[in-house]
Formats: sequence, C-alpha cells, structure tokens
Amino acid sequence: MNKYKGYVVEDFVLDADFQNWVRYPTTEKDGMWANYKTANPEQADDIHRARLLLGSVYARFEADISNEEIEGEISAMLMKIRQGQLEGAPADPEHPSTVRPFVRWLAAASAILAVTWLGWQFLKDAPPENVQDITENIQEKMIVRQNMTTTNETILLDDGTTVVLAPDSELRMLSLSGEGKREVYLTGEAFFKVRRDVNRPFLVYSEKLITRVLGTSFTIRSIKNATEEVVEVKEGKVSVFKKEDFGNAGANGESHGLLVTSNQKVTLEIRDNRLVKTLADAPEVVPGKSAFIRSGYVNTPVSQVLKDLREAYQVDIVFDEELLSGCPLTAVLTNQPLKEKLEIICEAIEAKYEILDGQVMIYGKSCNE
Amino acid sequence: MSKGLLEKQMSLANDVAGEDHELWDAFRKGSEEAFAEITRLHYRGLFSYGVKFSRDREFIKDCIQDLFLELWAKRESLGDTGFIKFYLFKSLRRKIHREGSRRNRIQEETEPDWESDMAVDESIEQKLIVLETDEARWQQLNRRLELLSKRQQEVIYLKFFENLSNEAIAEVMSISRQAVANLIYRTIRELRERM
Repeated sequence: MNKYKGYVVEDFVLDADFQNWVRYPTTEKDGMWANYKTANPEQADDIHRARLLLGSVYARFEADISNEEIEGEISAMLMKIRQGQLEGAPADPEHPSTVRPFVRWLAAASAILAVTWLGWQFLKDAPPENVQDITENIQEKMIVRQNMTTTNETILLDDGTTVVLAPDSELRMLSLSGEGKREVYLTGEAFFKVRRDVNRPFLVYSEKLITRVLGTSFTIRSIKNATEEVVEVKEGKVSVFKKEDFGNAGANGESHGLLVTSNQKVTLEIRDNRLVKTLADAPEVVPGKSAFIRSGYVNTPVSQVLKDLREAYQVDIVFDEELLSGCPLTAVLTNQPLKEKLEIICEAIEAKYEILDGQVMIYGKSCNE
Repeated sequence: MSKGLLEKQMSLANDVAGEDHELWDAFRKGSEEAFAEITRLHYRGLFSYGVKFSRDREFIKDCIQDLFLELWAKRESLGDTGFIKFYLFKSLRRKIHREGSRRNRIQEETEPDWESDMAVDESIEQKLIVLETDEARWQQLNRRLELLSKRQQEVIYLKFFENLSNEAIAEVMSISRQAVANLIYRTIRELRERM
C-alpha cells in the first residue's frame, strides 16, 4: 500500500480501492486499512475523514433497488430479445426475387455462426442452452412454465411479479395481466417477489396449501410425494391456508390461515396434517434493514444489540430488557448467520437462547451482581 | 463515433482497463448470457444515477431497458473495445432528457434536471447509525450535501460511485475536462471544511 504515502483526504476519496473499501467493506479490507493506519498514524485522521465523507455520499445517493428487481428487469429484456428474434426470423415474402441470393448467403453465414456459437459454448463448458419450455395452450390459455435445467431460472410474470423457479419445478397460470385474478399453481420449489397490488391478492396453490399475499417475497417448497410442504417468508407478510380451510372462516369469523412474517417459515407436516410455524432455516437481514446492525459494538448494552438484530431481521427476539441492559457486549456482528450471532451474544453474557413458535427467546441473568 | 470522440479514446482507455474483453466479445457475438452479465454489472449504477433526474422509478427502468435493447440491436456494429460504461451513462442521461420532455414528465429545459432535493428516506437514516460516533460531523456533511449545486452532485456521483475519469465525466455531462476537475476539487474542499 505504498502508493498511499503522503495521501490526504482529497487523494483518498478519489482512489478506486479506497472507495471500494468504504462502499463494500469486508473484514479483510477492514484489517488491511487498520494495519495501514497503525503503521502510518500521521494519516489516520485523513483516512477517517475521507471514509466519513465518502460514506455520507454513498448513504445519500445510493438508490434503493433489490437484486430481485434487477433480475426481473434483466429477464424482461431477455424475453423481448427472444421475441424480437422470432419476429425477425422469417424471410420477407414481399421482395423475394432480388433479395433471395442475399438471403441464401445470409443463411449460410448464420449456419456458420450457429456452429461457431455452439463451439464457443462447449469450450466455455457452459450449461446447455436454456431449455425453458414455454407451452401456451391457446384453447385454455393456461400458461405453463417449466424449469428443466439444473439451475434456478428467473421468470417475470405478466403482472410484474418475479419468480425464481428451482430445477424440476413447474408453474401454471392463466394470464395475470389485466384486472382478473392473480392465481398460480406451483409444483416444486419457487421464490416469489410479488408486485404489490392491494386490489388483486396473489394466490399460490401448491399441493396442499394456499398462500395469499399482497406484495412481498417468499419461497414455497412443494415437492411431489414429500413428507412436508414449506412456505418461507423473506420480507413482508403472507397468509397460509390448508386447502380445505381456505375461504371457510370459523364460527366467530376467525380465519384458519396462519400469518407468516419475515424470516419465519410454516411447515405442513403431511402425515398429521398440521401447520407449524418456526424461524427460517437461515434467516437473512431484511432488504434495506442492514444498517441496523452496526459495524462494531463496543461495550454496548446487550439489550440494544438484540433490538438492532430484531429490526434488521424483523424477527421477534424476546428478552428481559431490565435484566440485560446492564450486560455490555463488544463484538463484530456483521457477517455471521443469525444463529451464530445469537451464540456469540449468549456466550458473552452466559445466557441461552431457544427458538419457539417463530420467535427467539433469550434466557439470561443480570450482569450487575 | 464522431471524430472528437475518437480523439478522446486514448484518454478514456483507463475506464475500460478493468472491463472484461472476453465478456464484451461474447456480447457482440450475440450471447444472451453475456448480455445478462453486462446488464447486471451496470444496472444498479445506472439506476441510482437515473433516479436523480426523475423520481419515477418505472420511467427510469424503461429508459434503462431501451438503452440495453438498443445496445443489443447494434451489437454487431460496436467497436471491439467497449467504452461501455461511459457510453451507457452518457446515453442514459440523453435518453432520460429526451424521453422525459416527450412524456412531459420533466420540464422542458436545455439540461436534464438533477433533483437536488431528494428526501432522505428511512433506509438512509438507518445507514447513518453505522457511524454514530461521528454523528455531528455526519449531519453537517449531509446538510452540506444538500446545498451542493446540481452539477456538483452529479460530478461527485460519477466520481465516487463510478470512478469515471475526468475525461469521461466531461463527455457524459458535456462540459470541459477542466471544468470537471475544478468542480471536483471545489466540492471535496467544501465538504471537508464541514468536518
């Protein structure tokens, strides 16, 4: 890192590697810069200021767009490209005579191109050409989308909803555009990011469950002949119903649906036909909430740390605030999975945690004694 | 490409040093995979840039879609070194302005309008917490950022987010290289005075 000798704030903020560190920090980069500061204490203040300056610009100007939204846009573009190529394919019958020799030459050229293209594909050892199979039955207008590949496939539905369809999975639906119902039938596994439309709830029918949403993102696993069906919510809220209960409110108007929120999952155990709500297997920070977890905690009351986690993951964490507010915690909690974070915290304050009914319970003792 | 632009190729070359030529070649040969990858690489940056000119997210997404579809349509006539990043930003800026005045979403002006009064949204407020030890400095910086001129804001966006060279920024914003250098220098100085 010799190039930074003599750098001041102005130089640091314009350096690509420095920008990269502030924008996408990693423990490795943090360590590197910490070492540099120790070795060059006279530059520590400039580094600090440069970091602050860039950080404020990034916080202010970074737009809020999720990876799923970007993937949805990309699949929409790819669809248009394919449509365009289909339209452009047949030779123009209007001017047959004059154009024909050229067309023939063009056909030969494209054959060569196709061969080289294939060759290139194999050289790159890429998976075989996307075999996404779009069957459209005109009579019933049932749209069927299958993923026969070995990798996940991103699909954009007519209503703007994005679906990531797992291998060997299938989605059937009538057109979702216009004012009609939004209903899809899933076999297999898929992640949904539903375009919000309060007037048209989005319904997913899987083998034994019905999941109703307004606009949110979640995964459904409904594998044929499996022993369970799972709905896992990444962001927002969905209601999950057993098929036989859907539409039948109880005697007191109470619905039989189960409300599932961020980082929770609900499992239908097929054998005893029971719905069980738990925490997602690997809870993730809810999009847009990552800033709740600070880059490092130094002698912070554990109760505050737990509140930050609660906000970031949107998961209920139950603890005795009075009891734990006296327990200081020093830790970096940015990169581990939630369960590991909980283990670190519990170890530090000699507490235990338990996951119960989709919530985290912390059992600890006061640190003031 | 105009002659003036060709002359600038040498000085713009550093902007493509990091770009993947293999990827670009595959794109020109019609690989959909390469198309997706190039779009993925630039989407977030272009979107963040675009929404500074119009808060209508869907409109900006439409503009970006047109931009990439056009790029695809003329892929065979594109040069073998893509000055892709700078080209994309310049084209998007032009497109937003043209489409915007046509759809009457943006006031008719000689220049696209960088909306300097972007409200600080919730997620940004949360990011501030990260550096709370410097909260006072942070708030002053933010107040100062709001006071920057539109051109200053655009310049530091292109510089800090995209690390475009001064030559490329000059091309994108249609101002001189010297004006870009002056703006950047002045802006950084104004910001650091607030700390």
